[in-house]
Amino acid sequence: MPTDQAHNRAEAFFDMVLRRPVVTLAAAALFVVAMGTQLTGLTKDTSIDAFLAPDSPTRIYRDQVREVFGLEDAVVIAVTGEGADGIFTPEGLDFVRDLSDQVGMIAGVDPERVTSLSTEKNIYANGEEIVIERFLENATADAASARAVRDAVYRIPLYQGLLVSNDGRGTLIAAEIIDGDRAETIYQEIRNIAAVTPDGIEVHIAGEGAAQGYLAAYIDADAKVLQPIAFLAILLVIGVAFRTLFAVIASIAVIAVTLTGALGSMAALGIPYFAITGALPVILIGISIVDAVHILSVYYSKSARHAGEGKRQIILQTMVEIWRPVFLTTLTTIAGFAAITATATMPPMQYFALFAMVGLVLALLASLTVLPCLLLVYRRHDSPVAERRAERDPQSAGWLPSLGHNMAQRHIASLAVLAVLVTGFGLQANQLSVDRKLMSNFRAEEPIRVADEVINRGFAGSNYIDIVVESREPEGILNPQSLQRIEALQRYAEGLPHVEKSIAITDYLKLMNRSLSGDDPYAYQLPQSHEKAAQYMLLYSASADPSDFEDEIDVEFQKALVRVHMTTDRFSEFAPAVENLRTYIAEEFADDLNANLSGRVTLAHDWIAPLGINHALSVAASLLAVTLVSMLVFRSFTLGILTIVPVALTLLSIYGVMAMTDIWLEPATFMFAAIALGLGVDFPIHMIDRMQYWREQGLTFFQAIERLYEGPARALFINCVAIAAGFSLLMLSTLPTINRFGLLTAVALVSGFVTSILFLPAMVRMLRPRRLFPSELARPNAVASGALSGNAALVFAVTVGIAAWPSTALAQTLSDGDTVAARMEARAEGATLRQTLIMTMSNSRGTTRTRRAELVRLKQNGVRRTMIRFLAPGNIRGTSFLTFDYEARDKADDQWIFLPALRRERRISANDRGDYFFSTDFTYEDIKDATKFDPADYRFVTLRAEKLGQRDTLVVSLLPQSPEISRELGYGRVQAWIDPSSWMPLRADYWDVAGNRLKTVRITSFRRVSGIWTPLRIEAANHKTGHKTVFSFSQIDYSADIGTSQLSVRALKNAL
Amino acid sequence: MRFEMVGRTPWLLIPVGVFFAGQADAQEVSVDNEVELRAALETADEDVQLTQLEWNVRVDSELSPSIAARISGRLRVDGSDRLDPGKPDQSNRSSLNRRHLLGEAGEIELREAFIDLNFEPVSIRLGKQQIVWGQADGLKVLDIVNPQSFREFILEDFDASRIPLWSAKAEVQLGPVDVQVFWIPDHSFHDIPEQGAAFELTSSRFLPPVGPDDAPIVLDDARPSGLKDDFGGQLSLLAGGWDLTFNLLRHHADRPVFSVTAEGGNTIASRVYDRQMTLGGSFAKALGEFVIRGEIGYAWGRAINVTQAANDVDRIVEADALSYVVAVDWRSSDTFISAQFFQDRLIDAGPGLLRPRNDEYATFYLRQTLLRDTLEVDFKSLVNFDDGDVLLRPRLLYDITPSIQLSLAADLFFGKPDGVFGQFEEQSRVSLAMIARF
Repeated sequence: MPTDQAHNRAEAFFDMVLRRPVVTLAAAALFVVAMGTQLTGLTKDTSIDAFLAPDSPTRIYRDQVREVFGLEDAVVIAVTGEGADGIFTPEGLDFVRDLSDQVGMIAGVDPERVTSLSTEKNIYANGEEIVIERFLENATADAASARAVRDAVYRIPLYQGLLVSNDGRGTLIAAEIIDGDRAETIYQEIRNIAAVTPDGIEVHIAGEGAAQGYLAAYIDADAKVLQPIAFLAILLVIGVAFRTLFAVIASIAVIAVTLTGALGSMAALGIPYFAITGALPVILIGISIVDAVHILSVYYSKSARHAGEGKRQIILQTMVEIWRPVFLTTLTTIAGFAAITATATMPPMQYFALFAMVGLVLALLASLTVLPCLLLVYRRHDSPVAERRAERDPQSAGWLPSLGHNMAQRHIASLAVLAVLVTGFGLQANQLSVDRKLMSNFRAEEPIRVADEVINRGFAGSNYIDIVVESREPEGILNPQSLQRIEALQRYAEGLPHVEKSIAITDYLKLMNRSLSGDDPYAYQLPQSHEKAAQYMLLYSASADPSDFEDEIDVEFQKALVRVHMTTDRFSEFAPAVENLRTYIAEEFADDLNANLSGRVTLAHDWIAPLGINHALSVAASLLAVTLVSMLVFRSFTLGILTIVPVALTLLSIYGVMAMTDIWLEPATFMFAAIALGLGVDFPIHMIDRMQYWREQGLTFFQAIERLYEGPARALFINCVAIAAGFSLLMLSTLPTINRFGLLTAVALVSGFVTSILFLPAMVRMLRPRRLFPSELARPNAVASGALSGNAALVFAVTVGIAAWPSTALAQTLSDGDTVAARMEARAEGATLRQTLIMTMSNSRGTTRTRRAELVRLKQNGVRRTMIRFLAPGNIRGTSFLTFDYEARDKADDQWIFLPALRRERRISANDRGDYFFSTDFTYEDIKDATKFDPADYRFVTLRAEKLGQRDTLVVSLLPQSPEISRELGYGRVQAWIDPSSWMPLRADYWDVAGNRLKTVRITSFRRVSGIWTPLRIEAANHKTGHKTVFSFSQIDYSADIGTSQLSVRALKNAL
Repeated sequence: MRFEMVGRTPWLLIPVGVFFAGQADAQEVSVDNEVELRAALETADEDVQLTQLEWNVRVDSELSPSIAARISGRLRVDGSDRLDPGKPDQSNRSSLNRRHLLGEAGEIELREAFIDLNFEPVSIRLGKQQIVWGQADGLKVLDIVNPQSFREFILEDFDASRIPLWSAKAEVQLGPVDVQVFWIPDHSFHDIPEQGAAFELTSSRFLPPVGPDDAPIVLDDARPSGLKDDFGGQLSLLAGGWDLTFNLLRHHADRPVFSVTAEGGNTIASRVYDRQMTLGGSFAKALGEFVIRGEIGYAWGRAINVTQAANDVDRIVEADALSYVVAVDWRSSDTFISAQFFQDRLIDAGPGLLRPRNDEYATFYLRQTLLRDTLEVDFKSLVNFDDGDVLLRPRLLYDITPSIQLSLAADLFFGKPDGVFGQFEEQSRVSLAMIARF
């Protein structure tokens, strides 16, 4: 029999290992020392660039931009003053000048590229001449001259928000870093220099350069705290579980081999330690002891039961019995990590998975060789825990075996409960979103986060998109058409959400034009001819340093850089800007001028955007890899599927929990799924392997289950606790993203364990795999149902990936958006209204359902009360919905629903105004707002006039006022065709928050009733689902006698 | 004679319902029929628990803009006859509120018959009706105005299991406050399944106390005399986004306690519907995505059974009782999740209680609608902390058409044989139902 052969081969192998224990141990010690020496060579790379492959187009392009315009990451120092003059006092300005000088002298900072009030220049006219001089040429003599500096700076629009704050009290110093490796030191040195400030002056240090430095410091601090604590915690769990010193020593040995091996090989291969690598040692400590726990658990149990046998014999028996599941679980965990390596596009993640795999192999080797040898050379000892268990009467089995027995006995009920729970949570999972905010890496109270907020609040923002506009010909940029197109691009960019300001050569040319026109404010415009523009450039270079413009234009005037400043570093907020700008330049810059995006924000966009799809791929690949490996090792299709089902279900639920608790999918949480999968699958594998073993020994299914819960389940429990404890410790990390990663992985592991322990026997009993029930044929539907769960996970994961990208409005700023908003808002809607509403809902297959309802509305004393009462069909009859919508903005709506089956009202949250109203294609907000758009929710921009059918309409772009509102409404943007005679939106196209086309709503019939424009038929077509809803209104009565008592909670309850 | 007429009214409703179903003009008279066919199989022994046809007819009529009326009735025929075996004696119900029994397996009941008079700001409802208080789901603190049928223990929807009573209710709006007062002259109490019924209460907390001598107890079927009318009132208002009510009820408890006395060598247990006063209140408020709600009630001198009381002859003592529920709900378009905690505490009760001093329950409810509201998956669980008992209720509800619904459900009891849920472990069931509305 092949099993016997494997058995004999295994026995021969371990016999050989145990023959020369000292040699094995010495070799292991040598290995640890050799790899340990490598650790000193480990380098750190905490930059964001690290997340993009070196050959990615975005990174290549950005490097080119760096070369041409010489732009490097900068530390941004905000200096703000408290008094009325802010920093524009003699002390304030002297402080700024000194600080700029000192920062310029720090090693690693480019002294030529420190930008501040003391380096920037004033441009103004002096008669016919253009004068260019530094704002702070000399020490500031008195308050008057300080104020004169302020007036001079604020006269130049392009400096506002960039060099000086919008409120006139602060200024920025930007220092570019040429040596990224010194980012941390530079940040610290600037902090030291700025530690002493004059009274009333505050200094905040932020910017990408600072963030990198800060992050590096964080990671160091983390490693120093986390790793020893994780190490001690895991040892503590093991110590408590076995109560022997040996278990602790053995674990230390295995951890030492694993850690030094994995990290040492990383150092030896020159792979840097990335921001996310911080989690690797803790993970390695956790996973390395898994195998050791199983081996020790079996050993102590055998040793207690067979006290008379020789130690060597017991060790040999232990290893022969346990090597297989230990080997299999390592193999499947490796398969999980291998899938990440294969599918991740970000180098830090690939390396993370790769070296986790190295660690796993080493942990397996150490557990199968070093551990038995250690056992052999150590004195014979027993675990008091195992002894007690051996002495216990087998009849008085604890709660765990009886639990296992019961769950298997009532397998249908158990699985029904599981199915309902998983369905509930799993269905939430498609709400999961991908997002990232660099600053959320830091705790809210950290100085860098405070600084970032100060800069984004008072200035134009520390985040930027660079747009490089390139002409085919040298000097092409100076053509008036080119300059105008650059200016149009700037205006477009400034209209996008979260864009505060843009800066380009056009701003300087306009300034010079003004200066040369005797500072005439109307002359703040672009020069009208190429010659004039060229003259200005020449004039400037004659009066000042020609390199002043190297940030904005190259020496041949062929490339110009437009820097777009944004006040957000959150992906979901800046992504629409990047995507809209890409669309804009693709349409507008495709001829003799072309343009490309670069800059920090673009870079961040391009590596975060594919995260969702990468995640879906890596989870799908891990699932597949682990399933295939399990199928192969168990030589059973059904068992392969069974190993993966508990952990896949757990993952689905965790995604649901993530969506419900607003935890984003981001780089740190990206990997939890694959890791949890790789580790969590150990539970079912051990359980199935043991079941198979005992079934082969002739035990009945239920006896096998009981045995399973007596021994191996306990070892699994120890492992679960130890690893979950390790991951939970990541919550002590100073990095919030690492906290979330730790939490999710720990929760996923524990739920994977609980799901396996509670439900796996029930699943096995249900599917009756042939390998465990040899007398029967496995039922074919078993396979189908298992495969379905995998598919569901895959489908969901892909959906998440596709649904994740926001892209919002392109809004051309015309003047009368506000008027449209006001006119629409002012449209009469009557104080009271009673009407009958027929809702016809059809799906993509054309199946139609109709509901009839009565709508009653009363507007009185600043409250709009609306009640909708369903009259037909029978399954919804009597259900009523009541809302109080308050005019006062700060007062939340009150909403109730009356359900006939409860016969009482139920208070419902009014927060979900973007939710669909009773499965129609209208949201609660749509229903409430009655064909209006609330100006408090939207920014109106009139785009153009356009004929819609026979009617003249105004096409208006509606952009939600904030991302929060956008999320609440469920709309990223709306484009409406508004009839200027009635101010009714005859058509409105909606896009979802991710920028996908969502639905189109049309008012296909309307007329004046009692002098009030009233829709008679509204049609909504959902483009995503193919669903359609038609609302038809009849029996419209604006003069109905309606009092507040008819629109009250009492009326809701008493209605017949 | 008059009672006979009332009792037979539902008979007339069935043909009326069928006749008017397609013809009624919604403005004046609307007729709703609901027919449910349901079968339930016990999971333990695969016995059929229920094969039932239930027909509900409801006729609503607007007689004038200020006068409306409703009459509704229910026909039930259960082929298995295990929930109400034989002919129940109905002595818990007033003579005006009894079901009309159709042999052993069927019954017909007038559910509601009331007239609404609306004269702003006063509205009055007169007749047989349900008065519902409180904010809790599936647990009762303030929802005690009407008694309830325990034919299927607590598995039936409260709307179906609540026993409507002949009552007069008046409501008036006074500024921001709604005032409700009512008078209930109908002395009907809980329908408790008789011996041999599938959901017969066997947990000792519901039964007459057994003495140390283990003498057989004879249950006295006689309806207690000297019953008084119930009356109560509620103030409700919306203040700062809070739905608040304050409630006061003077009433007989609907669940009997047993007065145990020795008579001629026999131990007789007679039902006592204790007269008590309950003061309470409820709240609900939306907080962001969540809704919190709760209710509290305090009853003075609630009668409770004890095994043996020092200065007592009938094994009944009185104690004040405080009960409350707190709950939190979360809802999205398709999902509803709710968790509740319930506690019923006896204040200053002596020893020998048959029930826990602090009776505690928690419930969890998850409902997910799918396929545009045509499929509903829901899961309810109730846990009793003292007995460590659990009731799990997964259910699938599918609308085949807007008027035909299919339901597949399981009601699974787990726990000790003497526990509140464990007593029905053998009654755990899966059921399939089809519901038609027209």
